[in-house]
Amino acid sequence: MKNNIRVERAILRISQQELADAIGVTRQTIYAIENDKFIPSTELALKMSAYFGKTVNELFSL
Amino acid sequence: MNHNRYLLPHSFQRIGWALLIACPILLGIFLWIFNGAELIPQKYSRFGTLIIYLVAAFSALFVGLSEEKQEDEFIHSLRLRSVALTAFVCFVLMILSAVIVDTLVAFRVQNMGVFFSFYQLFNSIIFAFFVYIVIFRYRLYKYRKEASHEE
Repeated sequence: MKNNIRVERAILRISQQELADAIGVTRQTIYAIENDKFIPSTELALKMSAYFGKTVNELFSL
Repeated sequence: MNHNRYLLPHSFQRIGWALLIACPILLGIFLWIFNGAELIPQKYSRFGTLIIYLVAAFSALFVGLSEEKQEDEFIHSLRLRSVALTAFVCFVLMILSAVIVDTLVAFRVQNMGVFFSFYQLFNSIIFAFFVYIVIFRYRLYKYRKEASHEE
């Protein structure tokens, strides 16, 4: 599964740590998601979509 | 999402590490008491062994099954993957040690004590706990290091 979390983060100019703090996870979780090493749960995907103001489909794709 | 249903609070991890450090120190003290200085008769040495066993068991339990400062779903998935790898590693070691011990018994090799010790060690749940701790801690360290290089 691919994602464009890194791109969305760059648009908002926030670091991995800032995103991690905002959605209540660790920095290594954001790193693992961005590098396709971990697929987040529905709950975490929804939190990210709410944070970026995008739908889950816009953030994640098969 | 609550991932820590079966985990002890983070404070137990510190206790676990302290007990783990205490293990070799206790071993040294008991070896000195029972063998070196012979302060206590040798026949009571089994109590020393029992104490070290209990300290090792509780340290493994506290370090292995206590939550991280910030326990999230990624760490939870790391735990699950580490448990799976631990099962494979322990299974291979258990089978290998069983085959080696049986082969040596068949060939009537002398001084098998050390091989039986390994056989017992690889069949022990505490050993599996320590293998799990090494695998999980290494993976967590690796991800933390990699993540620290990213912006």
